Amino acid sequence: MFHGNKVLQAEDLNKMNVIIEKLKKQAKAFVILIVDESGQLITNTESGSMVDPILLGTLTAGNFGATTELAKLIGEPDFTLILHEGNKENIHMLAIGTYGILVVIFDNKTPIGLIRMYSKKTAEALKPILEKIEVTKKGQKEDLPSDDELDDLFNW
Amino acid sequence: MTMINYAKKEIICKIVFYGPGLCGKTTNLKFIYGKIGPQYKGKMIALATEQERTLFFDFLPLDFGKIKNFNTKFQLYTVPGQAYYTNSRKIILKGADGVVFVADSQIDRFNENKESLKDMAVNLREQGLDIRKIPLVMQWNKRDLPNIVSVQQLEEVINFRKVPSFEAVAVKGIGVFETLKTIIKLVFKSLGEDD
Amino acid sequence: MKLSQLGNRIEDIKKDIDIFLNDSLANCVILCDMGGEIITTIGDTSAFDYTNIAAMAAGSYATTKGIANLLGQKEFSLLFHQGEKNNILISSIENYVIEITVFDNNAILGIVKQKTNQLNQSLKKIFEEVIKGKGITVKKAKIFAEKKATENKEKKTEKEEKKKEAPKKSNKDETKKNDFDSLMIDDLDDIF
Repeated sequence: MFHGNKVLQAEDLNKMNVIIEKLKKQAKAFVILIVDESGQLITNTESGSMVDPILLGTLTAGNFGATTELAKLIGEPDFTLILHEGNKENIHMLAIGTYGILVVIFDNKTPIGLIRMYSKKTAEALKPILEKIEVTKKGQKEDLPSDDELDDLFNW
Repeated sequence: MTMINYAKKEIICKIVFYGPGLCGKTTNLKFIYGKIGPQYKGKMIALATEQERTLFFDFLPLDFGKIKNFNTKFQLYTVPGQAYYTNSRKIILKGADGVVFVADSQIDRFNENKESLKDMAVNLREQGLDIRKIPLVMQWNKRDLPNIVSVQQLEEVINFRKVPSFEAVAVKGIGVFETLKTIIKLVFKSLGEDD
Repeated sequence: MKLSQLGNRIEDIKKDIDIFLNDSLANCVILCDMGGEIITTIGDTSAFDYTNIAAMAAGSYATTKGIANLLGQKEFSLLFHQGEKNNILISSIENYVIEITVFDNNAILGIVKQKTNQLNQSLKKIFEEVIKGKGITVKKAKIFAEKKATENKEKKTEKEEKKKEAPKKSNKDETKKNDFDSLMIDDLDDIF
């Protein structure tokens, strides 16, 4: 499966943020992330706490990768439900096609059935946007630093 | 996968440190983490067993600040070296923009380097990446140990693409930043090119 | 915990898991150490590449433990993955081992969960006895911990002390756990 590069414009980012903020309200979730399978955080709702979204994104993507492999190993093409139950918070993960992963961290106030339903709807709404931002062409040359500029940077 | 975020003015690239078990991948990251200024680094994650063996990955985010209006960020990952973690290695290679292959210079580890390189080629292919094309740097680690193979031999057998390579003693930091700088340059160079 | 540390107690473990499989209608149980190395498999694992399953389960568990640390939570006690036909339940028994249960739709999730909890209680007892008897120090998986999480735990310890319900010994254990979870990043700062 080829994973293209992603180019995020402000407009697309805003659209996605509106969608996941809505889900956050519906699901009474603690925080919602959209991560790429390579571990990069695409965007997240404000968690209003000290939780580092980049680390959270990396760990959830790694977890999703391991879980997807587990599915293959027991003869399932995909898991339809990935749920991690904690004492306070739970994690629900759903693939958005091949473009990303929708991660919802929620507590026990919301039934899991509702989380599943809302997540599914949200993933459908996000899919066309994520599809659009995936590109095969990489960066614009003028946006990239030259070797000299990089050398200046490496003054560690 | 490179992410260029125009909204946040960010470029984020992923670099994976690959190589056989105990070759020094985590040691490279630890050294970078320890030496690099606090303004350049985020928190490091090490998913390891109590015996300090990586069981899934290490993660170190670097942020070099603004270059040409873009905040330039690198995410460094290591893979677990032991043979039975091959699925984990495959997962970590997903979306890699560049790879550092860390070879263990010791004579009795020579074959493991070859096997690891082969394993890397297969796992890259599974992610739609080509070992002949991806930005790649090689590091000949543990040059301070007694029974080691010659650099020439490593160049001939392991460095099949004649990519930039560096002798290193990662525990002492020798060759670590040279390796990092070079892979970063190569990744940037590839970003400006079409596939 | 490694197989070599268990000695003949492995037979007791197998017996308990046999009973569990009978009661829960699950297909098999794979026990591995925190790094994903197999300890034993019970039940019908012939259809599965259990070495790789264990390695992936360890990765999955380690990442959720990391997420739990970020959120200031102890751990995610149960990882559940539902497929079309086969499902997987992963849990850790007090960080001694990781237990992976594979079950199909002949089994009922609620029952598998309930029986897993029972099984884990009895296996925990065995592991504790092994450790007491042999004076083994358990090699748990080392996972980075956020400072915040460690602080939370310390607060908890303080609370427990205030309540004075817990005997002194358990407080000691709590402190030990904090030591183990010590921030890897801080260790690094010391090294360099």
